[in-house]
Formats: sequence, C-alpha cells, structure tokens
Amino acid sequence: MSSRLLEVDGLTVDAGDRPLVRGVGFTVDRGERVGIIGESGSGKTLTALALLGLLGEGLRAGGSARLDGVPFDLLGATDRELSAVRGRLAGMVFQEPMTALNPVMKVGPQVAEALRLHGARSERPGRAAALATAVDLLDRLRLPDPARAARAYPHQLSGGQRQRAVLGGALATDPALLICDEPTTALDVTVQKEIVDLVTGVSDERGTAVLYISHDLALVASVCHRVLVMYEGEIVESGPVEQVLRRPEHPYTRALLKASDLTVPASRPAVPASRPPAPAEPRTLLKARGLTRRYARPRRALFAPRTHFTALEGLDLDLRAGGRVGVVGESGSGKTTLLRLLSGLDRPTSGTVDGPGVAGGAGGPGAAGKVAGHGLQVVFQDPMGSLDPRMRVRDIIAEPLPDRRSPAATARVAELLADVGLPAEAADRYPHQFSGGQRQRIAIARALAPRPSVLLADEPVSALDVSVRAQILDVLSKVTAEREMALCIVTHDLGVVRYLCDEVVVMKEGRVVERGPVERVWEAPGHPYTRQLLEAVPVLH
Amino acid sequence: MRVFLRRTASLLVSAVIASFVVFAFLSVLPGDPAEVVLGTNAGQAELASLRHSFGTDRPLVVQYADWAQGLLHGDFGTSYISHDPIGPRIADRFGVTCWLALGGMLVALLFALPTGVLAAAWHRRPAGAVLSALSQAGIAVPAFLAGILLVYVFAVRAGALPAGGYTPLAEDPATWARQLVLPCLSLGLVQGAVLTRYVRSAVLTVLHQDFLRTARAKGRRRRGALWRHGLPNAAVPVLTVLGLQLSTVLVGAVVVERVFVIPGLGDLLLQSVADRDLLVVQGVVIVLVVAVLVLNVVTDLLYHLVDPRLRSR
Amino acid sequence: MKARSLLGRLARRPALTAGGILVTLILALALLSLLWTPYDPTHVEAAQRLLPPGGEHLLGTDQFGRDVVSRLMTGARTTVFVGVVAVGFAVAIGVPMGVAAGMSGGPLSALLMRVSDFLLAFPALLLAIMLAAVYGTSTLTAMVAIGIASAPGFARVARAATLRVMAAEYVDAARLARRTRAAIAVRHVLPNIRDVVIVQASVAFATAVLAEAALSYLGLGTPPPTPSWGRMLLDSQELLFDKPELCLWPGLAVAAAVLGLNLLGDGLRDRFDPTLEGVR
Repeated sequence: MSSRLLEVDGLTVDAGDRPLVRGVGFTVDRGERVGIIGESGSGKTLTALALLGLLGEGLRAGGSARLDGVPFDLLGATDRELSAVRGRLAGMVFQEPMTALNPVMKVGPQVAEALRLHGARSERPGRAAALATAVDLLDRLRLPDPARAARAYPHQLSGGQRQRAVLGGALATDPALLICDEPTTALDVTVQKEIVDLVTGVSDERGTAVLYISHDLALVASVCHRVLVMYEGEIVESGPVEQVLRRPEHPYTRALLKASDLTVPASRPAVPASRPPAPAEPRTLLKARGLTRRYARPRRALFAPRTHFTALEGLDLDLRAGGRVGVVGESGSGKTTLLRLLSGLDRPTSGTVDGPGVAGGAGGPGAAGKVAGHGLQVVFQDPMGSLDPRMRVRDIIAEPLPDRRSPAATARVAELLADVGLPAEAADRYPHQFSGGQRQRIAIARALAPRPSVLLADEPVSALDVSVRAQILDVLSKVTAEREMALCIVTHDLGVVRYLCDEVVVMKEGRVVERGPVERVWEAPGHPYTRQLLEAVPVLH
Repeated sequence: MRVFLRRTASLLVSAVIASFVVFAFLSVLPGDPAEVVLGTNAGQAELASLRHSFGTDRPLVVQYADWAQGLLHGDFGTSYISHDPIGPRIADRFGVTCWLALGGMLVALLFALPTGVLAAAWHRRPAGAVLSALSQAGIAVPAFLAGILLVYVFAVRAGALPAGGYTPLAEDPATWARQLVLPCLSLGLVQGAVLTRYVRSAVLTVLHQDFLRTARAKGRRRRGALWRHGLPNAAVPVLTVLGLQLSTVLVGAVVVERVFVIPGLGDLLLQSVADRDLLVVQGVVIVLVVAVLVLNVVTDLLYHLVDPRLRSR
Repeated sequence: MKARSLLGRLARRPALTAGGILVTLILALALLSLLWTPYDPTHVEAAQRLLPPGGEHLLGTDQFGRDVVSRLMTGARTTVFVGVVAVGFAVAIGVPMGVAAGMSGGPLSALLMRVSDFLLAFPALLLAIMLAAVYGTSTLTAMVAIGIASAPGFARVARAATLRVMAAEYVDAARLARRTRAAIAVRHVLPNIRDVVIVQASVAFATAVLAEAALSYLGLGTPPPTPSWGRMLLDSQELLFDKPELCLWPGLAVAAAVLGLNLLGDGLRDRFDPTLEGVR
C-alpha cells in the first residue's frame, strides 16, 4: 500500500526564458490521494500537464519524474513513449467538461478509446467489446441509462454527466494514477459532491492514487490525505491535510486559510454615534410580488403550439433598508432571471416589482422594461465583461452620473475610488490594466455613483481568486452599511451568503424552496434540498 | 428531414425572389427591346409590330408570369437578336461551365486539404510559414492572371498544352482533357490558395481545443489525435466555406472562359451583353444565381449532417 | 532609442509591416499620379511602339507607344478610387444595418440575415455584368456593383460583433445608468466593433481590387482610354508571344495590392486580438 508510485524531483516549466514552475518536488504513493492547492497562475495545472507531456506549445519542462512501472523519466520522454503511459498507467480529467469531449463523436467510443489504444494489438478488444466495457464503466459511475448515454453525443448530456464520461475515459484502463485538474470547478455544488464521491470511491475500491488539483482548500481537505500548497510556481508548504490546515507554517497558507474561511460573518462597521437609532421596522425599498418569467421555446414544427420554459414562478421578495438578502441556487434555479427582473433589465411575464424607479407590472415577453436606473444599481459577475474595455475608469464610474463631464462628477469619481480602496490615479487607466479584484472594485464604485438605495450583486466574487473574495465582500459590506442600503446578493456560493447576509432565499428550478434568517437556516434547514446543498459544501473544520 | 424541407422551401422562395429581381432589372429598367433592335429612329408601326411579336406590348405582370412559367419547363424565351430559342443554348453552355467549375474545385481541394493541414500542423516551423506565405501569395493572384501566366509557361514556352479552345467530351475525350487542364488549374490553384487559409485556420483552432488534449491523455499520439478527433471537427467550418467557394468558382469560370476562349456560360453572357441581347443575359444570370443558391443549400445540409449539434435540433 | 524600438516592433509583426509598406506604396503612387507621371499615360505615339524597358521609358511602352510606368501609376489611381468608393459604400450600408440588427435582435435580425444570404447569390461580377448590360460599362457601375456585393459581408460581421457586445454585462450596466439606445450604440457598440470592421474593410478592399481587375479585363470596368490594370492585362495578352513582360507589370501590380491588403488585414487582426495570433 505504501509503495512509491510517483516521484517528482526538481520539476520546472518555462515559457521561453520565463520560469512558470520552479523546482517542484513531491511523491505520491500507491492508493494515496494528494492535493495541489493554489490560485490561478500558481503553476498547479502546468505541473500536472508537464507530468504527462501535455504542456501547450512554447512551454518546456525540466527535472525528473519517475512513475513506477515505467522504465524512463516522464520528463524528457518522447511523445511516442509517453503515449504508452497516458491512458494506461495514468489517466487525467480536466476542468471544463463542456469542451473536454469531441463534439462530433459519440460518448461511448470516447470512453472506450483508451481500451483500444493500449496493449498488444492482438489483445485489444474489438469495437463492440470495448463499447460494452464503456457502458459498464458509465454504469459504475452512476450515469443514468448508461447504454443510451454511450450512444449520445456530448452536447446531449449535462455538465455533470459529461464529466462522468471524461472520468470514465480516464479510468477505462484502470490506471494506477488519476490526475484531476479542477474537475468540478465548472459544476454545481451538489454535482461536485457526486463527482468527488465517485473519485474517492474508485480510489478506495481500486487502490488508484489521485493527484487532485484545486483552488478550493475545503474541497481538497475532504478528498485528500496529503496536500501541497503552490504559490508563484513553487511548493511553499506540504504535509498531511490535518497538519497543514491546523498548523499552517507558510504565511501564504495562513492567508489562504483565513481568506477561504467565510464561515465567520463579516464584522459590520459600527453605526456612528451621532445617528438616531434605527427605526423598529425599516423602510421597504423594493417589493416584488408574484414574479413569473416564461421564455418561449422555439417551435418544434411550423404549426406546432409554442411551448414555454418557466425560469421563475410566483416569487415574492422584500428588500429593506440596511437589509442583506442572499438568494442561493444552482444553475437553472432562476436566480439570475430574478436579478434581471428586479433591476428592470427584463420584464416579468406576470407579477410586479415596486422599487426605486422601477416601472413595475407585466410587459410583453422579452420586452426590455424601463430600466430601474438610479435608485437601484447592479454589480455584475464577470469583472472582465462588466467594464467596457474601450473606456477609461473615470468614464466607466461616471457613466451613471447625470452630468458626466462636470467637475462635480470628477470629484465624485475620486471619492468613490477612495471608498472602494483604489488609488486616485486609477481614474486615468483602462480596465485591462487591473487585476480581477480591482476591476470588481471599479464595478462597485460605478454602482455606488448615483447613490442608489438598493444594490443588487450577481455572483460578485465567483470569478475571483479565493484570497481576494473576502476583501471584495468586505468592501460590499462596508459601503452598504455606511449608506443604509438594501443589498441583495445572488449566488451559488453558500459561504458568501453566510458571510454577508442576514436573510437567505433558497431557490430551485424557478421556485423558492426555503427562506429565513441565515442563522436559522444554517442550523435547522427546513427543506431537504437546503439540507442537500449545505451538506454538499465542503467545510474546513 | 425537417431541416431538408425547410431549406428546400427557403430555396424555392429565394429562387422566386431572384427571378423577380432579375426580371425587374433586365426587362423593366432598360426600356424597350424593340427600340434596341430597330434603333431609335424607327417608325412607330414597325416598333408596334415588333413589340407585338416579342410580346413586350403586354402588361409587365403577364410578361413576368409568362417568362417565369417558361423557366419551369426550361423555356427561356426566344432571343430578340438571333431569334433562336435561348433554352438549348444555355443548356449547351452550362455543361461546359460545369466541367470547368468541377475541375477547378477538384484542383482546389487536392491542393488545399494537404497544404492547409500541413501548414497548421507545422505552424511553428519554417516549412509551415513557407506554406502560409505561398497560399497568401496565391490568393493575391486573380484567376485570369493565373491563366495568362499558365498559358505563357505551358503553352507559349513549353508548347505542352493548348492555349485555349474547347472540344466536347463526346467528340474527342483526349483533346477535351488537354484543353481543360490549364483552365482548371488557373481556377483551382487560386481557389485552392484561399481554401488553404480556411483549412489551416480550422485545423489550428481545433489543435487548441480541450478535447484534443483529452484524447492525448487517453494515449493518442499527437498525429493520431489530430486524425481521429481533430480533422472531423475541422471539417465542419471548412464545409461551410466550401459552398461559398463553389459559387465563387462558378462565377470565376466566367472570366477564365474569356482567357481560354471556352464557349461556356460566361462567353455567352459577355457576348449577349455586348449585343445587348438582354433576354439571354436574363436567362444566363438566373441560371447562375439559382445554381449558386442550390449549392449553398446543399452545403448547408451537408453541414447539418456532419455536425451532430445541429442535427438533433 | 525610440526609432530602434519602433523598428523592433515592426519586425515582430512582419505581416503588418509588409502589408503596410505595400499598401502605402500603392497609395503613394496613386496620389502621385494625380500630380505627376513621367509621360501622359494616354498619349499614343506610333514611333514609340513596344520600346524595351530601360532608356527613357523605365518599363518600356505598349503597342500604342504609351509609357508603361505612367499607365501603371494611373492604373493604381483607378484601383484605389474604385476600392475606396466601393468599400466606403459597403461600410455605409452594411455596418449600420448590422448594428441595428444586432441591437434589436428578433425579426429584424433574421430578415437582415436572409437578405444578406440572398445577396451572396449575386457575386460582384454577376451584378456588374447585369448593371453593365443595362447602363453600359463605366467606373460607376463597377463601383456600385462591388459595393453592393461587399455590403452583406460588413452587415454580417457587424451584426456578429454587435451581438457579442450586447451580451456583455457592461451594456446592462449602461442601461442601468440610463443610457439611451443611441448612446449605447455610439459609446459602447461602435468602439468595440471598430476593430473587426477595420479588418473586414481591408479584406473587402482586396476583394474589390480583384473584382475591379477582373471587370476591366472583361471590358466591363473603367472604359478606355483611362488606364486600369485589368485593361492593361487584356491589351497585353495578345502580345504574350512577343512581349510577355507587358503582362507581368500590371499582373504584379494587382498581386502586390491584394497581397498588401490581405497582409494588412491579417496583421491588424493579430494586433487587435493577440489571442488569435497564428489562427486564420
């Protein structure tokens, strides 16, 4: 059990003369699950790709890596030599299940592919036999109706199902080592849990060693025995999971641990003493009643009746001054639709929204409503896509202001930049000159510019690295508390809600399944789905 | 199947609109064909009788209906100038142009598929850069210029191939083939250069796709992954371009016919323009336009066959 | 130091540099021909027929005793003129249509795509022949035909780019900032689709040069005596046996112009979107 499987020593990856991974060394024993933790750009994915000789063009690997049962060094072996190792002794699962499968080839042959590539030519299974093995494998990976899935094309499967198919392809030859590169990052939490359970299950059952790469500390902690922390191309800390989590030694690990721990609610800035105490019943700033949104599906045939897809059904919501509501749901829950309806970017099929500047009421399907505007602003998910790349930061932030070119607007921009913790010089630069976290600060500054009373945020931190998530949430917390705004955050991340909100609304398939104070829902979830969600989230302690 | 019906329906609609546009353009705008034939100082009585025999004294709607109805059974009317029925002439010439276009396309494919794939596979090597540069230079040469150059090299200098002319296949297959070599090459090499760029781009895009890496992670070698997974995917975008290319080749044939003195549709078209025999122009144009429309629909259907994402919709 | 870094930058983008040089050269020749040519390009002189290159006439004279260099320069003017007007026409029609379709979506967008699909069935050459049959041959008919035939390309490219822009969250943010549709079009859409339109323009210009040459060669473009490269090729083809170099010069000119424009387009595409470098 404890025999050595993989031994990596002094692994480097360079792009031309730029070192990306520097002298990484570690070992993996048979049946052991080792996690590599790091943020984007830490070199964790490159390390894995280098081991199997899958680095992109222009990247060169150095050092040595010995895999038990392979007579040569993996680093520096030819493509021909490595192709005998890949898919036979070591399989790999990638981050993006949507693009990891060949779109014009059926799923079954892709799962069976490795079976028909390795071993002596005479011993390779025939097409039908390999396919039968693939169906068995898909069944073991608990894919519903595996025979049909094997005959389907990738686009006919959901993300989770595709990732199972990719996993199946990697496990087909029963390899001794499975490398997983962020295999669940693109998936919902409940699906993530299923995939992770499958990986650990297979590993326990077949004695497969796993090298698990992720940015999610808690997830790695729940999967792995041992963990390596990577930072700027180097391993800064390694050891058994327990030890690294409880007694982190490197400052980066400590910072990462602190940042990923969103279980402690954000501290709220104290209300200035000069203010009168808050009234018992705060003002309701936005009131939504019976919100329903249906989309017409394209007609199946020329005269077939139109069918509809209901994204959101009969939702009620109140946003109060100083209140913080978190709307939680997985993909397809209707949470983004809700945000678009509340902000007036889209109009409900039926139901009303009464809020600052919102022209409520049902409109024609698809008709863009009168936009809510100044009383209400939105912070969007993608800090890359929500800032016009061709505009200077000053123009971006001043966009919602009535008189964009006035000295008053310039002064306001400077003030807002200071509020979100950016230097005044930022005003003259373009969005691409900033990091993701800084761009999200700019987006927050823009949203605050017209002094809105309601702030909506759509997954404000999901595109950001773990270490800056807490900072951005703190900025949101600070600015909304100072201004007594109503805040509504729409997210898939339960941690974010726990960290920031007082009230939570849990959504599934367009309906609210549970709502209540955050504390109560966390302690005693009333609905089975809420319980499932909470259990699916990996926790650190 | 539904796609097939829908495309065919839209093809019919497009063809009807096209016939309308062409009719409006060539029968209504230019004025009176009788005047064209007799000259501007002809007598009223003569004009009237000629108009009557042409049928151009009838209301336009009737004229259009008559013409369009004729088209359906291959009757393109009678030339105002030569008084021959137009249909058979067009049919004769269309065959010639088809041979030319098919030959050109064949040359283009034979040239572009290997060159494009290699240019992509070698895109970081000097050989790939050379192939790219060659295709870039090839695009810059118009087909008729390529024709002139080929005539100079193979006919004038080497004397190996005829500089022009056309002999029907049925009469003398050997001469037919010899006479078609240079025209097809001049059409095909230039189109092939354009196609090479598309093939290269499609293959390069595919080379960077995740599923190629997945295939390699399963033990495919670089080349095997490209053959088994890459090329079927690269075929999808190339196929869409192919339809457009075929149309370009068909129209390009018009010019090349002029270089090599080939009696095809282009020759007929230019001759009729020179004679102001507009009814013939009208007939040839509608044939070319419908051919292009049909080619586009066929490509579109092929595209649906190759890409399962479109098929299941 | 500054000059060296500029040179370095140019060397890193060979396509852009080579394309830029070729295009500038042809533009310069065309502009210069407005002011000065070595000889009168249309002056016929029997005594000067078919002079060899060198001597007083750098590239010799044609069968009518006209100076080849002068004719090439004036031909460049014709090419540039036709190209600029045709592409300008296509941009003026295609881009607003594409942006409007992309911003409004739905039926208008579908209609536009149908119309542009339909127009694709009428290539520039066929349109020009139809126009020439009705109105006779002239530079104007060539320009209009090429312009109409290139417009769908611009409409498609502009629509696709506009759809991408409209899907971006910064457009939602602009709507929340109470920007009008017109302001969104001007402040957000146009600046963000500018690059694709410029690249498309250089490609369309190259196509226009090819089409103009073909039309002149068929005798359907600029009528004589105004020199054009296509016409020069037609005139010299009959002398292919005796004076093949007469074909060479206008042929090279056409190829250089098209090559330059295509390289420029490729170079600009790579510059605007470095992620596409090498692709396409």
